[in-house]
Amino acid sequence: MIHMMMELQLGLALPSIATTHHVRGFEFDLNNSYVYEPKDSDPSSWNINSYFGSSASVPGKCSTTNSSNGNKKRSCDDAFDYEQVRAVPPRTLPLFNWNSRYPDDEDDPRDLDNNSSFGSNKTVDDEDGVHVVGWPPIKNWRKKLCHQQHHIPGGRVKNNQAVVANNGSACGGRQSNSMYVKVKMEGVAIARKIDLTLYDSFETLTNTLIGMFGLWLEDSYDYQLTYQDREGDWLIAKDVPWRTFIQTVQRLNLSRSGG
Amino acid sequence: MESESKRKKESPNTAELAVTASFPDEVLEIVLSLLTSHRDRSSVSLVCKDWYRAERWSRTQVFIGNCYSVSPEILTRRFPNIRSVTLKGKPRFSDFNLVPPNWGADIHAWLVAFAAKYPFLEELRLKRMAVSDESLEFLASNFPNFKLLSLLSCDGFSTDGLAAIATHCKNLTELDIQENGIEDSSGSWLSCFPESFTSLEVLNFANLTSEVNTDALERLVSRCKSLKVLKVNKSISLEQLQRLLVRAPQLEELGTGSFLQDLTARPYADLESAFNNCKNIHTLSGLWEAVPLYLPALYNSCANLTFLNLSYTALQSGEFAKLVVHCPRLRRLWVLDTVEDKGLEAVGSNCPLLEELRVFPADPFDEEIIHGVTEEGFVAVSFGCRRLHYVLYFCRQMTNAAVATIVQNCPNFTHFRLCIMTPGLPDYLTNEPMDEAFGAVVKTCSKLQRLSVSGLLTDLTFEYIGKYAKNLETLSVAFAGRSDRGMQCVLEGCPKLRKLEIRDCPFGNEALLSGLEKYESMRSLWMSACNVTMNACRRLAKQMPRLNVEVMKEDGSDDSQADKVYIYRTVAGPRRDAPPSVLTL
Repeated sequence: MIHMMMELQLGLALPSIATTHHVRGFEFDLNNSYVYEPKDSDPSSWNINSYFGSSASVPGKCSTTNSSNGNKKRSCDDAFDYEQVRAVPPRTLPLFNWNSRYPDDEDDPRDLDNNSSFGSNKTVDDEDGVHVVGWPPIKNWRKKLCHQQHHIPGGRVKNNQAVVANNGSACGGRQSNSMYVKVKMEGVAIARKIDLTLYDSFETLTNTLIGMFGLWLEDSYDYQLTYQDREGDWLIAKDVPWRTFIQTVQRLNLSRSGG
Repeated sequence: MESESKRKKESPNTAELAVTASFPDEVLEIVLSLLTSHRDRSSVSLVCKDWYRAERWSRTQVFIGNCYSVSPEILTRRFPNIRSVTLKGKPRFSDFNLVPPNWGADIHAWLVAFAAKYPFLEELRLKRMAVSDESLEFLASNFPNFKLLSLLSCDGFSTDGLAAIATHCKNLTELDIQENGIEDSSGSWLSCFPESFTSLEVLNFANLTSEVNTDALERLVSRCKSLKVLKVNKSISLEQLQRLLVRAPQLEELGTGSFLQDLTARPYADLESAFNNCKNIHTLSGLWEAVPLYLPALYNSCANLTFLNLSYTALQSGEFAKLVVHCPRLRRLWVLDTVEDKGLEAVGSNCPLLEELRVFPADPFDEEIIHGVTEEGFVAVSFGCRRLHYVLYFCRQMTNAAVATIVQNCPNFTHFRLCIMTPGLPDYLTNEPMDEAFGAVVKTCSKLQRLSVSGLLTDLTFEYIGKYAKNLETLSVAFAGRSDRGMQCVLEGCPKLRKLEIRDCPFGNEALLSGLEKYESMRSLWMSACNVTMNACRRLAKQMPRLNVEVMKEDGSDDSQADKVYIYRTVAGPRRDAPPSVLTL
């Protein structure tokens, strides 16, 4: 356990907070500074289906089933195998994705000093996703103001609108002709963002993704594109028509087979 | 005021005391009644018994920063002639859902005491108090001279309570309902103002949602000739607004309703002319769902604006920049971060008199947003607005160098509240902690009264704060620090510290107990999700009987951990109205 925590302190400092909800598993947002590469991987967490290939169900991380709270969480063990983590020690420091799944308290590097967790802090799973109670410190009524803004049906629309659509958005709808979603590729530290309005099919999308992540075409067949829909479920991209995909996609993930 | 404090120093021997003792009380009271500052009055009351007495009889206003620091009985016994009361209740973190419901701070017991002892009460200003409809009805029926009601961040009441106020308070001049957790069942409360009622000067119902009867509103506005402040809610359309403006050209503060409507040319021209006719407007807010198309109607009004609150509407940088060009006299600006750095650059270029800037996040939980403001916007404002002294800034990235530049440009900060929204985020360029940023703030800004820190912070930040922030009164800390030493530095170093609120920091018992004596000179301490144990809290409570030590436990947490601790000084003893979730030690 201590060894595990040292690994974490070196490279993968996670946010401190112990949760009372025992949220299992977590997702890194490696938009921060450094790189970590798992040396090996637990086959159950990588998808061994080919990129755009079969429609076999995705074990481990991805699931096509709904759950009541929409949380698709891997256990810590599935996410990565601690033994094999080879972290490049950065000069820092905490690494979190506060809008997503939440780490177990034992991952806190600061625990190393006093070996106790921080004390409880609730995570809240609401329409905004899973996040820490009361953070960022914005008053409730102000959060409500922009709530509809966050959940405009159908995602951000492709076409520009001269007048705000009458969707009751309290913030005065954001007029946007782009639709950025985050794309994460397994094994790559930095997630990227991509404007989905620029594409009209899975082919064009994946070609761009291949280029973006610097994959060779042959390697790309080892990858599968999955996406998270508005309900928080992870689905295989190719399983649905493009139109359906576009209306509901929140983020993308490229997962690969082991080896 | 000067002569008062001089006299305080000059009272040395009995002969002189005999002289001052013969000074007629009535005259002394008249003189002291001119004192309005609460701090001055406190000082005055400590001079001698006569002055204490004179001060208590001459005082008409009282400000109570923590409603549990004193009881209604003690208050009414000491001050017999109060006309105006300001009360604050729950800890500030209740705004962010960190305080259990039914925590307390109920106004009712106070009102009952006031009805008996201050039947001539005129003004009541409440912040973070629990207010029921029953209490509002009681208020409306028991105070014939009642003039001013201001409710900020309160909860527990509905529009029925407002109806009671409107119906019964014949002398009402001000009704200000802001940011409350109110159950808004219907807008009919507004129609309860009798036709004979004409005294209203301030009406703010911007945060209510139900539709009000617009005819009733128009008639109300028409007959209240002294109306200076009108802030309507979103249900009021542009056309309705135009009719209101026409009836109230004397307005000084305006909160519009919805700014979204399909206006043809004629109504638009009418709107513009109505705005132009209101030559005294210096504060503008509302502008819900503002469509850029109609903003030019405001341009002429903007020339005299000193306070512009655009925080309810998501303007983009271009349209915002066009608007801000017309606001050269702006002193206070609240915006959403949809205006981005470019919008803030426009502020820097056009608003040299700016003193206060608040930038709120439009989508705080959406990680996919690539917009918002960065350090660049803040820096741009600091170059153009050298008088800036109050900032609340929500952003997703910051650098130490930027903050150093900002405070170099604007060394007069009194309130510096920086919220880097990802907890524990380092300087994104250097990957270092943000210690030097806040170090620069406290070193440079000697007048700093209020500080909120964020980002990745070690104990060094707190060493800086303890060493340099000698005027600091309020400090908010989250997800920061490395050890007890951090908190200790602050407790030892900041002589004027009054409010300290901490969440999710590795501060433990040693830090908590190092502030034993300090807490009596502070209003309150909040610590949640830190490393404090129940035993330490018990020890603290035992040693300091004039402090209330309250612990709120979370479900399923360890018995020995004190999950949330709220400590405050009080002369009223432990409170008796705490719910089961709050343990008083």
